[in-house]
Amino acid sequence: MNMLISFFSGLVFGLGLLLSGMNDPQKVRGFLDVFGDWQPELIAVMGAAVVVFFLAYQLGLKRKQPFFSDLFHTPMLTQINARLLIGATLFGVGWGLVGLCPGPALVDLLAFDSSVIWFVFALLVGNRLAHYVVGPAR
Amino acid sequence: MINITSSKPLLVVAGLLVGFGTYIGNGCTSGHGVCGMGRLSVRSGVATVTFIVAGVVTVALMNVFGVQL
Repeated sequence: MNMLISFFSGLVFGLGLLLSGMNDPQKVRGFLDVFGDWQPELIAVMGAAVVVFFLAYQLGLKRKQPFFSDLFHTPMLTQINARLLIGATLFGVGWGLVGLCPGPALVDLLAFDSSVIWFVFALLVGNRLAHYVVGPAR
Repeated sequence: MINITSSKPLLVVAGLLVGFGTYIGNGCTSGHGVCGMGRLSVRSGVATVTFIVAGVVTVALMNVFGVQL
């Protein structure tokens, strides 16, 4: 059952990224090009996603536990520290360089374009590198 | 369909940065940007503003220096 829910969640998420154009690196770079040829449409995509998540989360909070799990796995970290800022900055630079972030990159794997495969492979290497060099946040 | 014109070395550098950065910062556009912001987490708000500013600056600098990668 959990696998089915995961599959359906991923399917909806991926379809959303695809239909909204969030999976298109050119569109993402256009969105980030605030001082040039700015294409602000993706604000609506992220804004709508945040609103939908907010409402769903409020509904979820009314329940003791999820339908298909023992507890809600909500993040425990709350502090704003150098680690968070450095990580977010490095991610932002990489995001700006080619216009891909993890979710859309996975969706774009199905384009069977070697560029995406190179990116996702490097992404996994970067993730493991951070794990073994820096380690998980406490 | 998507059209990626970035060179292979740039894709690898960007992928490493995104993989490393999202691990260190504990989240990406989905995690901090959608879920974190949707939970009204201040930490996620700070992270989201940070990576959007970093992305905007990166694109702006590439345009200023005419980097066609």
